[in-house]
Amino acid sequence: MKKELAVLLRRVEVEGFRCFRDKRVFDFKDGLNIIVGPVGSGKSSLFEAIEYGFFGTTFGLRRRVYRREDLVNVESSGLRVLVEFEVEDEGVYSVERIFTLDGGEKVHVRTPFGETFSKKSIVDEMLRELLGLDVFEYERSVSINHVFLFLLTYGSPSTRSRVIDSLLGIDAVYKIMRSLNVAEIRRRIKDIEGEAAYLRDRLRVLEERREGIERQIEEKLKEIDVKKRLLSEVKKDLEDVDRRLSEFKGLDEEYHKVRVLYEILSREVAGREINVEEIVLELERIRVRLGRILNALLLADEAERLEPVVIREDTIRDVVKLYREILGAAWNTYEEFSSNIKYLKGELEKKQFLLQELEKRIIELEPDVEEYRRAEAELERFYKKYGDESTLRNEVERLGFELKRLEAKNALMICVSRIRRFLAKEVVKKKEVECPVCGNKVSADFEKKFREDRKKESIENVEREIEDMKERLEELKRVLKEIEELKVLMIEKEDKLDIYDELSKRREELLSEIQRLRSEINESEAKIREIGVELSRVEGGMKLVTENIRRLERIGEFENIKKKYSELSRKWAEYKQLMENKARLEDTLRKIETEIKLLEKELAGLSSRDVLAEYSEVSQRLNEVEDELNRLKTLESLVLKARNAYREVQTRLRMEKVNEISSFMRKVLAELYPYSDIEDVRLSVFERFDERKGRQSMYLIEAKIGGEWSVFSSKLSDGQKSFIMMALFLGFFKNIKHNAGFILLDEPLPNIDVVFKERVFSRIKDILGVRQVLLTTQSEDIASRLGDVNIIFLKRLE
Amino acid sequence: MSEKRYLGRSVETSIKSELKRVLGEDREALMFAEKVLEEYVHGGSRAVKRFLERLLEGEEGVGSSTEKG
Repeated sequence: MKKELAVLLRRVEVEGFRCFRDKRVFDFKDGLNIIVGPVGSGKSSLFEAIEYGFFGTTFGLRRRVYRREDLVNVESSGLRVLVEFEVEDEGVYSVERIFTLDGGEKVHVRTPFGETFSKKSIVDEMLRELLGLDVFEYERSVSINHVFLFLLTYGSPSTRSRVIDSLLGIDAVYKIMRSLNVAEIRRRIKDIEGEAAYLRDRLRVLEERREGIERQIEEKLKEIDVKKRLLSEVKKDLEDVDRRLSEFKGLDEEYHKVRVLYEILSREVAGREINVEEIVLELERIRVRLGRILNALLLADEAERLEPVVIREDTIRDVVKLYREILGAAWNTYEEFSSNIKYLKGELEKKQFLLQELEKRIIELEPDVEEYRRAEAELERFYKKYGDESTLRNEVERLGFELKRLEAKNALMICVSRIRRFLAKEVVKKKEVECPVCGNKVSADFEKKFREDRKKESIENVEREIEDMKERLEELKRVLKEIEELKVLMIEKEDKLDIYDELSKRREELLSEIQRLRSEINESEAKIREIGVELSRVEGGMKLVTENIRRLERIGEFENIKKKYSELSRKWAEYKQLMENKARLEDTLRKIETEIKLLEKELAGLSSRDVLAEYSEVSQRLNEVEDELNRLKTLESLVLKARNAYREVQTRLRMEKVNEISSFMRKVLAELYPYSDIEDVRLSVFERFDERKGRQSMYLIEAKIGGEWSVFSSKLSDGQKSFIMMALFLGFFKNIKHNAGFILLDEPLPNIDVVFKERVFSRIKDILGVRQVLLTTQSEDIASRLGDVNIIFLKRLE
Repeated sequence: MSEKRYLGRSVETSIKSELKRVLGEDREALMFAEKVLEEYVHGGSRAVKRFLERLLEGEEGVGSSTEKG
């Protein structure tokens, strides 16, 4: 028999906790303590209060079924739970927890030794040590929640397995396994493998390019080597040429000097043969021409110098010298003649200018002269037509007098005519009337006589005569006036006419002078032109003579130079050949040097390519990626190993626990089950292989009925199932080692008859080997059927 | 203040003991599995997932658990 455990419940005080609004005190004894009450009376809450007292939490709080505030009674502002428990050989401890809605939680532990602890961590650790349980283990052994009972009885095999794992405390293993998910790691590995593959490809391409470049570098180096050897040979050849060229130092300059001289002399001596006779004859021709020129220029002295000249081979140069002197004198005189002609031309220009000015002035005066002459002609015409001025004035005076007379006569005639017309009218009326002017009597004859006189004397004729006279008078007056105006005009223009006449005279004189100068200039120019032609011919002859003399001198000189030039030409040809060789070698040298530089530049370009840098970079990145890949694969491997290990652990723990629990269940069945229909019961683990999840293990609860094992849920009644589940719970209680000497069973056997319950309740303490059992039931009569039992009645609070 | 736990001590001990039996030959894997267990004890499944995320991101070395051990 196992030794009874040490911690026992003695008292629980609750206030404001769940349904316990007011303070309630529950005392517990050793042995069986039955809490009896209807639904909602607080049976389960009492068990929750005990758990809360020990651990400061509950099954519902931990699973977040409700909040801590929900533990407080709806009519209270806080809760208080006090649990007194006895520890064997030590005494009674008490733990008190107070939680207020506004002040948080406080906890106190009082030990049998008078100590008080209120620091939560110390209290929790002390209680855990005293009970030998943490809250997880407590809920899996001492106080199994009825939720588990339901799930085990009516849940699916997998649910049942998880519940059993949970009750065994090994559900964490399953959760850990599920947490060890390698999907993300594998996805990351796949990504990185992709990048690694790309980098390897890139590296291979770069490697090929690198090798290509190295090949090119090698080829370029070989090519440079060949070129350098060639360069060395060319330099050597060039040195040889330079050495040989040093033997021709100064040749080039001397050769060119001689060559120039040779060419000059060649040109000078080129042409037909020169002889002395020709020169003598030419000099004779020049003498004749010079004689003519000197005569024309009136240079008698110079002409005398020509007379004694004897032209021979030995006097040629003296004659030439004398000719030059005489020719110079002739040119001087010729220049003087030319100057005189220029003077004359200047004079001519001056006079021509004066003439132009005169003509301009004359043209300006011509309108005035024209006007004067026109007035003169007009005046002459008037004199011829009207006579002189005196005659005209007399005629005007006479016509004036006559006109006055006629006008008076006309006035009188008009007056008389009016009187007579009056008298004629009156006579017609009265036969006789008296003249109002003279007083004479006028008879009827007067009218007849009046008509006849009217026909004889016409006033109109007189008036016509007056008009004609007026016109004549006006004309004469106008002519007189015009004559006066013409005279005034002529007086005004008279001075200009005088100037005009004088200028015209001067113009005639100038025209004469100009004509004379032109003749003189023409004659002088003809003469000087002729002399000039002769002088030019003499100059040409002198030039020819001089050149011929010089050519005669140069021919001898040319022969010497020709010999020297021939010798130098031979040497120079050799020198030139060497220079050409040198130029060719230098050209080759430059070409090779350029090629070498080009190759070296290409080489530098090849070695400085980015390929190596990129290769290094990609290589480094690949190393990093491979390191990362290795790390992740290691991680994947570790996670897989760990997951497999946890799966193995899960199976092992299941099996390890199952054997003990199964054995205890069989004991409970044998001792407490009053019937024989269930022969045996067992909890086992079986393994199966799932293609997706791999190897898996599951629990199997079986009952042996009629000699055959079958799954417990298939053939058992609800009551039988409840009993087997209770046996399982008790197995869990026994499975965990702890110091709790009590067990709490919340309505452990629903659907079971009273007799069966009495049998179980009365023996459960002994089966479990505990000193104290607290269980709840709704059945009040069970209490009366049991003997030494502490019954606590709870009433439903209304 | 006591540390919050997601696993009972006796079960933790049992799991550790079983892990040693299963992975006794593979010290690195054992240390890793124990580290995972430790994470679970103090932070539950979420702590284990976070631990794996840290490992995945390289914030924590794969061998760190070994080194610590």
